Amino acid sequence: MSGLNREHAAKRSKLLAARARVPGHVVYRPFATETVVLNLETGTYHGLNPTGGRMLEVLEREERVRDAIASLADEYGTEQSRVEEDVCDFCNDLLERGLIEIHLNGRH
Amino acid sequence: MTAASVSRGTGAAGRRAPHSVAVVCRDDVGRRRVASTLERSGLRVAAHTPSVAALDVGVDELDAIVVVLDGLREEKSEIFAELRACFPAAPALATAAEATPREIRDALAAGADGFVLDAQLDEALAPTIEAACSGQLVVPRELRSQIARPALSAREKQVLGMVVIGFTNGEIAGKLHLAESTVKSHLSSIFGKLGVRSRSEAAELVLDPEHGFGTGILAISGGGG
Repeated sequence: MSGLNREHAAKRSKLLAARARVPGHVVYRPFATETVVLNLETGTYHGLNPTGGRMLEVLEREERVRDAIASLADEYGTEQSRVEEDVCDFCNDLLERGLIEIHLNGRH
Repeated sequence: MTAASVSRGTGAAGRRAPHSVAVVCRDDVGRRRVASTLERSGLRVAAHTPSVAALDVGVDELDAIVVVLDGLREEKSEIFAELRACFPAAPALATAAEATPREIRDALAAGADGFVLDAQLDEALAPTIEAACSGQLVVPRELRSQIARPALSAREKQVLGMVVIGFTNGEIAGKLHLAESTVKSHLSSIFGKLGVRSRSEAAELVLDPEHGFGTGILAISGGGG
């Protein structure tokens, strides 16, 4: 495994063990065709498709990202490895936009 | 002075003053009032009709068209679209006894080149026509704040954003750690600034990027919507 891959694997492992939470300055509401996420600090709106909206709900509900992946894989009847890829990409995207926080071992 | 068409949006060089104007107004009294105002200003009223369809004038015969919105508000978008299609070179102006910011924005978005309040017809109609014929968009100065994007405070933007995605006053109060009465007070201020009367009108105004302000109005730290 190359250095870059090792770094990626370590980051992934940390994320899977972490807890994802929607920060206080972010509110969201699911609608029929999308989930609208509003960042109250910036006033920016974001739209999530129904799958993204569901991922966000489950991430908020579960204790760890890993648990959310297991739950979503079960719900969608999809291989856990594939769901893991999607959920991790989704988390990184939301993190970049300041729409979730990652708490490692209960700490931010 | 010979009749000639006037190009929109081009420079004023070589352009002659507007001469021939048509009036579209549903009621006869309103039509005559606007027509006599135009005539007193030295403009020729080429036609005055209750609808665009009844405007039996050649495409090159008109320098401008005045639409009296009273009685035609529901159809204003279609009217201006029709005028743009039939008389592309002639600026179209809207007049009304009064109008909400939304109505004015809608009229401008639909293709109106200017707006004149009834109370200002005598002094403002002819100059507005002239300015519109020079490619200008003209609205009364006192409506500046209603046409421009209203200045909302950061807190008002937060409240409005939550209203837009369907939060109740109680939910907003809980999320922002405010008293519900404070949320109501913010809402009252927001409605006034936006010129709306309800949460649904406010939401519509924010979410409609074409006729409303778009979600960019909620940007607090420079970010767009």
